[in-house]
Amino acid sequence: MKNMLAWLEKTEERVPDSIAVAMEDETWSYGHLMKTARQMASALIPLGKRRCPMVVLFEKSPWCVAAMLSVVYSGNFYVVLDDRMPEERMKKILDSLEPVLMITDRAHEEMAEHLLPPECIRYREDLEMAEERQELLRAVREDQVDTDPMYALYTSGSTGMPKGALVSHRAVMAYTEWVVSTFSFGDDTVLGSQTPFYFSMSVTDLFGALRSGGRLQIIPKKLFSFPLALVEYMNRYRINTIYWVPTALGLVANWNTFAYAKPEYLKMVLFAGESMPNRLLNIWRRNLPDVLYANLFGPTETTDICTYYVVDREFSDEETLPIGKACSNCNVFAVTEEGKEAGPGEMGELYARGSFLALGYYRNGEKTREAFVQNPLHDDYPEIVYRTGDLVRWNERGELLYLGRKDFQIKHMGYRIELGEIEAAASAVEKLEAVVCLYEQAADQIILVYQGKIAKEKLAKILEEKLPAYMMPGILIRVKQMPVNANGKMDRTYLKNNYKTLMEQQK
Amino acid sequence: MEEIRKILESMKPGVDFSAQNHMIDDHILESMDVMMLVAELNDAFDVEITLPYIRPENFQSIDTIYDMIQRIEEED
Repeated sequence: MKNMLAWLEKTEERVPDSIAVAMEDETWSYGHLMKTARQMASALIPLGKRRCPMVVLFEKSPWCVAAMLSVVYSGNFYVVLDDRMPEERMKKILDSLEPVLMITDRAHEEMAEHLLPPECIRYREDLEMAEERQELLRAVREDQVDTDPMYALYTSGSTGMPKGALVSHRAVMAYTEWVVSTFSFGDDTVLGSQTPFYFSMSVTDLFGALRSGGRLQIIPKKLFSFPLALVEYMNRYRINTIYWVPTALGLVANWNTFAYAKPEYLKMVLFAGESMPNRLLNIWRRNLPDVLYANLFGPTETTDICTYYVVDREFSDEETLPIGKACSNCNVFAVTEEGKEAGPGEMGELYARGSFLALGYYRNGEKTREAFVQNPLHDDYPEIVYRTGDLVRWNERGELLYLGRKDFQIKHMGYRIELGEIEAAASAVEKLEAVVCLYEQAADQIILVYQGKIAKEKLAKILEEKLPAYMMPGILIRVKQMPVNANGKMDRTYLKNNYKTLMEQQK
Repeated sequence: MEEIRKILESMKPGVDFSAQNHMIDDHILESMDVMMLVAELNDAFDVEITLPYIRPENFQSIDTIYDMIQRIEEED
């Protein structure tokens, strides 16, 4: 196969009447979804654009999926904008992307016209009226190769300028091959989707489910404020697989939800996007012991994931969950500061190689060349690998441990410190529901922001027993609720920019 | 009711909360706002809002929040 759509068509042919995507009670069969995408594409192909960016602006819904697939059918690549994204971010993305057009619905007409000139906007209400034109669709497919881009996902660059990781059909095919075979996704998979379609984790949800004949059940975002209603939704739609950020899993665990209700059909809990504290995972494991848990790890630049660990043994609250080993068809290695391959016990920067890799950053040669580099371990033939910027170490079991971001590595009191290590130690403290560790360079201060019913003085005492003096946070800030970003992860940027205000509020 | 309005305004300045009847459905209160609000209400009214009360319908307006707190206080 050389095109991701061919996989989806295979599913369509096999189970045309099965539900592909659902939002509450609105259900779309594979037949309906794929046919709608082809009809819409039949109206896009005559524009004569190939391998060009097209933006889709929708709420997270089956219509959004149909629009994404229609762009792929037209031989172009999509970029998802969500109607809840801050306008400033949308504008930055559109400025660097210069899309040939935007697909949206009439409900977003005003927003769309605010972002792009009217001649660049197409409404799904018009596009869906088009006839499916087989000869056009076939002509597009004949010209395509598996290294053609399928989508671009924008990540927030450290400078505040978003970078668009451009991902090919080949990467999505290789990646979903691993997902579907490793976690046995199939016709009976009902995947409860938490993350937005502009976040890399949704690639696993969407294309993992659609490739396997399963059902993607979109979970309304508002339910992530209401743990009981969330569990009831999971039971109503018989969700048996979830792939959420740990903060979302923590919401359920921290509110003692399991004492009131349990997800009755759940068989598999996958997570990624941030570190999963064992204290939280252990609450899940005690309450749902028969579920398979797996820690997935990776950046948008390796489609979604490059290493994984299926939880296969007990962990105390204090231990760190490994990120495991490389996915099939995506090899990883770690390189020490001296430029040598890291051996057991040695710390190094994680590199990934193989078919999961993104093509690079769209229209950003400089950033592409910084991160997508010749394999530093050899110069025998051209081999572009991806530098993750993550620090890792192999443990004695041959599993990778995540130590932190290279840019979060700080020098404090003459010691080199991983902020992730301080977070890991603090996460294990009883009653601490969430922690984020920051470093203020100007003041050379380590700041620990936490949520949980524990006084600062008491927490300081406990931490003193767990951490060497040079790693002790100089400032503790207690918040009633940890802020989260649009993806549902803890919002580090917000905390970094606002910690002074938060400190003031404590006085 | 006044106190509830003040708490909401301190969390989201600039929103006219007395005019809101569907704060959850209209996404006025998002993601973690509800949890933050629960913590604030617990402190301000010296109650413990337990999980069975944390449902969308109880957080749609100042009125529904007020009713919920009344019910919790009666139970005590």
